[in-house]
Amino acid sequence: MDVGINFRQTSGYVTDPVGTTYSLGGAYPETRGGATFGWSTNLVSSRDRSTSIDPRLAGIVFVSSTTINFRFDLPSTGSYDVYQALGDNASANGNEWTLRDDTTTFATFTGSTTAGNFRDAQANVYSAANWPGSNQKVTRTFGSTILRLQCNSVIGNHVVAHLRVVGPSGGGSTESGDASSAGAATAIAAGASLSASAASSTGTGAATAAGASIAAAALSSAGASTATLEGTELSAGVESGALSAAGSATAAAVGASIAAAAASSTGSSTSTLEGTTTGGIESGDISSAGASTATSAGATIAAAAMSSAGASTATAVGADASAATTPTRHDGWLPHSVIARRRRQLDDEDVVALVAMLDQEWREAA
Amino acid sequence: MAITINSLQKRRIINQIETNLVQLQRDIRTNALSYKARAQAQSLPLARLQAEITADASEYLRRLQWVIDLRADAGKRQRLLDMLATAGWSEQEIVTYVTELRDVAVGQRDANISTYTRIANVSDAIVTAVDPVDSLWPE
Repeated sequence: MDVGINFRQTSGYVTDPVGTTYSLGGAYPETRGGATFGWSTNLVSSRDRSTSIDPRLAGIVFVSSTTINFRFDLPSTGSYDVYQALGDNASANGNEWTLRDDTTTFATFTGSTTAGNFRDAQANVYSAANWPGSNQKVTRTFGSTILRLQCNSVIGNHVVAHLRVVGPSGGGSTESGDASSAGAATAIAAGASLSASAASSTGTGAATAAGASIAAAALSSAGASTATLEGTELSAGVESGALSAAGSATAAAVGASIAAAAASSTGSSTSTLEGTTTGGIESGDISSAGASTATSAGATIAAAAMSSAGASTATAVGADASAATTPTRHDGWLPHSVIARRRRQLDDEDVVALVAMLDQEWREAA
Repeated sequence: MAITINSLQKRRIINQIETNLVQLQRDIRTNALSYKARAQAQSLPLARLQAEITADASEYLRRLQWVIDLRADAGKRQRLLDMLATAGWSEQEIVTYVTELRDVAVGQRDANISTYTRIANVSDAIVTAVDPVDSLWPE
């Protein structure tokens, strides 16, 4: 997940950037933007502050109680990156908060910020103009599935403008991220542009990287899993990617244009590189082993190398497969008659060589 | 020494069920309107919107499961029944409410949302199925 919460008073005050939603101070539980969150009470206050700064900092929620916290439900335990902006664009206010893994504090913030300044998750203070490009995260491996932002003081007002949670291990529209899932789970890295992402799944899970343009992605899946790279826009595709699948898994790279992709599968798996009819596959490597199938299909296949072993099948399909290797089996299997003929041929060659050597020695002795 | 479970504690569960289900009805409808608006504007990458819709449906079902789990606990269920009887409400009202919301959540989870147009259509169906929550004042 990659969900940011923008705290303010009015939902339509600003337009939330992609991957973020709002909290107006509503009590838990609220579900929006793919996450469930909310305040431990509806006795919190909120304000709209400015539409001329980053929309994530446009408003605030403020509290003054050590019994009030903002709860954010995580999809699973694991490692998450937490970003925040404690501060108020309009006036000086307190920053007395703690970040908690349910009841365990893992970051404490003290002091206050002056108007127009915001404290990030590393306690650095930036202006509203500098916070978007400079704010730092704190990373925490959560033992629970509850993140809490807990107010830590009853003196003065303590403000929060933005909270963002990324994990477990990333995804979304960020430039790099990791997603993993286990069991019957799904790991999805999705965004307009994924310049780097990694996703893995085990069990009956699925790992997916989907976006208008995927510059680089690595996905692996095991068990009854699926790993998929999918460029959804016809104008873009998968520039490079590596996929591997094991067990009864499927590894697929699908896009209008696949510049480079490698897919491998083992067991009863399927590996596929598929360029749509408006695009093609410039280069790709596919390998499969066991009862697997490796397929490279596209309007144009400039170069593709495929290998299969065991009872596998490797196929290159395209209107113009100008340089696709002939699918071959590499498991060393040959008919008994061929093996016997080769063995006889080797034996004959050995006998001829031995006779020639003896003949040479006799000639020298004579 | 254990604290005796009293009517205040029992009533808290009733309040939480009410908050959860009423707020969930509001969330499902409001989110569907948001999906439709963003699908029509195509202001969000399709994959991102699809992921959000799926994640929201999963969260709806998780929230409904809290009620289902409570009823599966014999002791907690009896305390719930005691309080419902005091208030003059029936358990069936809660069951029906959960079932109706769950049907919508499952429908959203399993819906064909492969294009912006399909998302807009699914959103319309959700909005039709889920009325606004009654309110004394305009919301």
